[in-house]
Amino acid sequence: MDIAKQKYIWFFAAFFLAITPLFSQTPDSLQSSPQQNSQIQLKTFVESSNTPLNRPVVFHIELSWIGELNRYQIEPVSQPVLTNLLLEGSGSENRLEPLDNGQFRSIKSITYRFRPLEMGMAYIDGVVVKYVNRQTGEEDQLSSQRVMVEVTDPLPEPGGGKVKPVIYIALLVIFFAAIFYFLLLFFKRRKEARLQPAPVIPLSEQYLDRLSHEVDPRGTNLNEMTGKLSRIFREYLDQEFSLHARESSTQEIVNQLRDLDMDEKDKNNLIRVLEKLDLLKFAGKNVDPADFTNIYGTIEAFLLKQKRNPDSSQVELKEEQ
Amino acid sequence: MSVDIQAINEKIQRESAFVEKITGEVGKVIVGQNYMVERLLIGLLCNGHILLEGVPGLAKTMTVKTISSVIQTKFQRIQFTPDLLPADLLGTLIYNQKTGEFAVRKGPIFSNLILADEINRSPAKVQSALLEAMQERQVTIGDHTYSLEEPFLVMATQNPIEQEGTYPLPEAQVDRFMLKLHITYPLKDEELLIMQRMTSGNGAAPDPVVTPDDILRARKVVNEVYMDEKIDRYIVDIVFATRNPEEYGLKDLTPLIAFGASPRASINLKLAAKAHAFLRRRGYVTPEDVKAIGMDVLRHRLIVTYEAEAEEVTTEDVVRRVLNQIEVP
Repeated sequence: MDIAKQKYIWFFAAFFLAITPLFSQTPDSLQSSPQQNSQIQLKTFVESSNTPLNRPVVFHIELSWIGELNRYQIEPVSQPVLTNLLLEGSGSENRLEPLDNGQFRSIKSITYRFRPLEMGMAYIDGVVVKYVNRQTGEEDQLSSQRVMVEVTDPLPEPGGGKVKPVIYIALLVIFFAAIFYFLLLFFKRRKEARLQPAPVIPLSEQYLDRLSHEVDPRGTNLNEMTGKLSRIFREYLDQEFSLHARESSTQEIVNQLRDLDMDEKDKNNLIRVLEKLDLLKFAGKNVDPADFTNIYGTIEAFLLKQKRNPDSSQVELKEEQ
Repeated sequence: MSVDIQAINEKIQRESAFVEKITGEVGKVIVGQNYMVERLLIGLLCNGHILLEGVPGLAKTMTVKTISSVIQTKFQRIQFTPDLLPADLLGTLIYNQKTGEFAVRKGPIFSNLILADEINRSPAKVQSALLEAMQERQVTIGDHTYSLEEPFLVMATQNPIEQEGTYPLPEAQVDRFMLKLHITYPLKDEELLIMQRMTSGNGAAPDPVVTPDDILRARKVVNEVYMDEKIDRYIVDIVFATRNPEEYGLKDLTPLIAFGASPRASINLKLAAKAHAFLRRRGYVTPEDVKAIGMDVLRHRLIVTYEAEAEEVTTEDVVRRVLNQIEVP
């Protein structure tokens, strides 16, 4: 063989080696052998080799051959082994694509949808596809190489920042509406309760009750009881006749009593009670039980008669002895 | 502890008999003015002094002069003028050319009942001299200190309508007066009687029916008048209400009072209430006595704020509110 012939052989060999990857492998796919002989090709690829954490990784397994779809019987493809990915779903399709020479290319496509688990690298191990040529009955298999995907920072969710405030606002509105409703209910019930006629207890009866509960005419400390008796009596005069009896001296009360439209006998008895109470309270004497009982009885009788006939001014009081 | 009120009452009945004599004799000369006469007696019984405010012509001088003659004490009326000197009031040392020595010449303060007329017309040094004598009840002339005779009562007057060119008494000195009275015009019937009596030309002269010893004895009885602790607390409540009105439900008075009453007010209120009870022939004090005398004891011891003055709120308005608000025991 001459030197020029050898050069041609080496040139074609190098050219062949150079163009072989162009036909057999794409950047995101691997093709298996024996594609040349069997005319069936396996191509696996991911739609994007960089996927944000919050986006799915879509992985395709595509088998294609020239001729009818039923030319090859494809065995079911097992799920690929995954690293840092989780299967979310899968689907498959068959289709025919017309070629320029009038023939058809049959394509069987399986698509997987994976969810990235963490940022970093994720891997989809190679798959093995077994098939049978129905024309020849020949069995064979195709395998692909491992595919890697870089999982990157998650992308902001479109419209996600607006949804949350809307939810919060809606919850707040519901919350305040509920409060408003319950307040409305509360005030309505209170108003209803207020409109209901309350049982009217005559003032004299109230003070009779206080007298019996707070003052013990047979108590041991009559000086203290005298103070209580005086206070209750003055409060009653204050409320019943608007005499400002709590802040007024006895003389001031007496002057006001004289102006009241009341029976003179009643007035005199009330005045005597007030003056007697002053003597018992301020003269530094030990209270005589008889004096105390007498005053207590007078006040009690006055209140009882006021209770029986509150509008009557003709109240006969028990005379002081 | 039981107090023998009966015994106190009997003593009061005995020792207060002169009160009716005084009022009877004063009534021969003075028409009405019972309020002023009673307060003068309280001053005498409590050994206190009286500041009197009222327009001229309301028988202030005549009342004091009449009481003085009824109780047989010396009376001096001192007209305070801008050129008055302390020596004119207290006395001074006079050089005797014959003996070549200084002799003491006592001033008009050496009397029992003094009417210091228009005290605010004299400068502060004269006012101070009088007020010091009132407080100490003694006067120093040269090297000697002379005690003033008992009873000793100063009734100082102020004219409320002519304030130009006057020297208003400082608050600290006003506080030394036990009572401050506001004298008003007589009633129509009283005025008629005054007119008829003063123009008839035969006005009756009061008889000297009481001695100074009667007054001094009565003072001891006044001290014996029983005052229950409840009344003591009531008095303290009243005085405290002028200092911290918000604690007694008088929050609206807080911005109106610059300074409340001093402890001297509590002391004088207690003494005056006892004297008031004595004049009512009662051996114990009731809230009525405190309320009756409260205004006269307190009205000059409060200082109201500019805000109060702007709103024309007087110390009397404040005291009235306090007395009407504090619950009686």
